[in-house]
Amino acid sequence: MTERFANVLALYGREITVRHGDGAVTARAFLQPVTSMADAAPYAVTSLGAVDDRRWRCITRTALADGDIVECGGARYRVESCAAVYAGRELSHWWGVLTREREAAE
Amino acid sequence: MTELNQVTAAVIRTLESAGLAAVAAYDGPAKRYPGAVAAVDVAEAVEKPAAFDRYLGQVWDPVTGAVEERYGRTLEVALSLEVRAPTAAECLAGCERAADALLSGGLPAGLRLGQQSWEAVSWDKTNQMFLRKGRALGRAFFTATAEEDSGLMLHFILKGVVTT
Repeated sequence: MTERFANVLALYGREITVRHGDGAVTARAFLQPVTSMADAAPYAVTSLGAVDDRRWRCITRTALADGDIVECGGARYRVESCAAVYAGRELSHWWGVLTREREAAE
Repeated sequence: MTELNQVTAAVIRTLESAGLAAVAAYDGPAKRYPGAVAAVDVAEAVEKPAAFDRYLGQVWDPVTGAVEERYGRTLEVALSLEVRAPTAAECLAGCERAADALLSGGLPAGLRLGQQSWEAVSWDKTNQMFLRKGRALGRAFFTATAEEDSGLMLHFILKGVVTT
């Protein structure tokens, strides 16, 4: 089952680069916007400034960790939360929720 | 710059001098900070009666030799301070730094903050950072000088702030 899923990812997934610390790994992933009621107002106002409140769901076979940077199609995302998903004893894939990476303060 | 903006700017300068990143609240898109950052805003401002309808008297300018009419304005202000950081420990350390900086005399002479209160550390889901909200109460003193010829009142400037 996990092999089939890997084949589907390889065939239909988008190319992503996962950056963890100084390392970078290229992989395939399904990257989709999370559709919810929040999409009606994708920006939140906080005292720190306006925040892009949208989320993306990332499904990949490459390990993810909170805070990793995922690059895809010229956009940069940050892993907000993630978890490994198992099929029986075997790792099926990694599931992550991403937000747009913010511009660094000067 | 309005009086309230002068207060915000003075607090930001003081916090930055103490080594804490600080921004004016609700100013553009939120950015990414490696450590603690404080968002500063004037939450409340109430004008208090000062002198005779703000008139303080005449002062002699030793440089120009002219006598000028001096006016004053006093505001009671409540500052909103929101300190965020990636970790709770950094958030607490940032709050301590802010509290010390605002009480230890780093502010301009015209801004006196005598009372602070801080809430417990919480999680700011939108910014994905730890957050501690604080409030500081105090008084801000401004002075303005009327132009000798026209009598036109210039802008009120926070006392003790160097202007160029």
